[in-house]
Amino acid sequence: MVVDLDLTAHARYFKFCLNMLPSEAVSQDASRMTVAQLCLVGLATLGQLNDILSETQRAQMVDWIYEQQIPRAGAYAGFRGGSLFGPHSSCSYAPANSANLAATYSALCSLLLLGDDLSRVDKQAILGAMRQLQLESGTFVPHPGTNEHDPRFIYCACAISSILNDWSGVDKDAATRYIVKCSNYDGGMTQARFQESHGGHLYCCVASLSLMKRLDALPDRQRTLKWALFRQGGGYHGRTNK
Amino acid sequence: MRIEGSEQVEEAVSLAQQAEWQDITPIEQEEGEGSMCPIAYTDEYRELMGYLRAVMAVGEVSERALALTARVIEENPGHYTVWVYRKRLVEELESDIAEELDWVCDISCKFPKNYQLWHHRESLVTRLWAPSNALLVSEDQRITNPVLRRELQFLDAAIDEDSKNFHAWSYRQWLVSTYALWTQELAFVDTMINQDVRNNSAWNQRYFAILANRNPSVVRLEADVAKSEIEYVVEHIKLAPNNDSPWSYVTGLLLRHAPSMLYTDLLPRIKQLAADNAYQAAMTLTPFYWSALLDIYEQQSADHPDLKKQLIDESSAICDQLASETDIIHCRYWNFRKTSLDTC
Repeated sequence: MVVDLDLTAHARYFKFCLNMLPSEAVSQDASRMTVAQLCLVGLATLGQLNDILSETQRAQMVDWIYEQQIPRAGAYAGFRGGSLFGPHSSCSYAPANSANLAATYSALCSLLLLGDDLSRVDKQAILGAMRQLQLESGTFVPHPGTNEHDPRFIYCACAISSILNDWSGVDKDAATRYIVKCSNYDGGMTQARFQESHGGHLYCCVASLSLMKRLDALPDRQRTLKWALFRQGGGYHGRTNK
Repeated sequence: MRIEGSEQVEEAVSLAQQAEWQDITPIEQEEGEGSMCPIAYTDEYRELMGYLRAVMAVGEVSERALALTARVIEENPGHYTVWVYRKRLVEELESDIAEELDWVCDISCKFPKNYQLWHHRESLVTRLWAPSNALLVSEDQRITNPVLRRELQFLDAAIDEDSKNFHAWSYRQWLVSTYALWTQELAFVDTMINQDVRNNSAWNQRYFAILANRNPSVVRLEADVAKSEIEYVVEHIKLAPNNDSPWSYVTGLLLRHAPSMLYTDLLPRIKQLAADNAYQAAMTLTPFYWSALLDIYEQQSADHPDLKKQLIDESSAICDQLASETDIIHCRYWNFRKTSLDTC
């Protein structure tokens, strides 16, 4: 039985999420920028972004995104994940109002989707922060004060650099070295050396190499290609036997 | 929902009515008109966040701030800035690390897949027992030390709850590497594989247990270790031939660390298995057996060009069979693989 994709219903769903998320979604409070990006990507993919959102609404959303930009220099610069920490001027404890790489990436993508020209983006502040977030091993932490680090944030850094057309924030050699170490015995790519091959990290690793124009660094491209293809069984899974 | 053992008990009484908080004016959250994906906060969360914003804005260091971060994290463990704040509070207040670990345990049960929890745990454990000190004693002494014993038990429980919890296995690798707990790891892996032969996390851990303690880019696996792994894999293939994990493991292991043994040792063993009446049908039907043959012939062909023509012919036939019968869903791939045989 073939069921038609109800495009209107899907567009309505994304609009609904942009308007309000239920209280159960509180776990996304620090990631609203990314949820918003996904809604906009959904609408754009359906070709309905400019129909569903009026010019005024889009302009207001652009303003809201810019309100999440941390204006100071240093490692905290970039975009926040949401408005939960109030206006910047009220905050003397910098980590409270910290940007993070994932939110910066989502913000830039969202601005572009909403038709903004990025003229209000403090490019130098973002790239300056990015330099401080890259570890010696080549990977990135998302914000100061954490030891969380993995290919998701390498990807965010590469995507940001690509959008801003400026790679001064990324040591490409170091990032490439780290990613190459993430290639696993089965051809897959991992979060860190020796961890389990994982579809999400595969994307982040390969996309980062591609953006850096270092795809040749992949140790066994054919094996990686095969690993990726074989995530399709009936549907798709992210790990072997998952 | 109240987590047992957590610090706050007066859940029903709002902060505004508590004497302890009278000096604080909560800071409201500001939203512009174009607010994107606003969340319909509960009144409780809204109030907690109002007070949290007030104390975080000035970086207050106090027990009440610590308690407040616990309540917020229990609602939303994805608050990346709150974790940074809490870490600082725990350090500056010189909180009892073991108690903090207790609290992390409780939260982990509710949020087993939250990234920040595991990283917070890492920083607590290294504070509790610095790796440089731990490495001064023997591995036996390390495993029986209360700090590490507790972590291993915690991991047992987490993996028992969800045998493929990605964060648990990552944390386990961190623990084993940082505290050099190599000797016990292979036994643990063996137990997990025998519990579920399809658990790819366990098979991956096997590679970790054998290789991670060496410099893998230069390791040529000793013949007896490679043979032993081949036997181990064959025994587990017998349990479920149509299982990607052991096939990927053994071909990947040998390809990287003993390539010639792909055809000198693995090939005869799997052919023997395929000829065995008890396993013949299952082996013929599984794409992983045929795919392994292709990988083996590719290596053999590279090492022995005199055999290339014959191996390409055989491989070509295998690709056709996979595309048309054994693995139809990937037929496009197998047709592609066939065209690239000559260029190997």
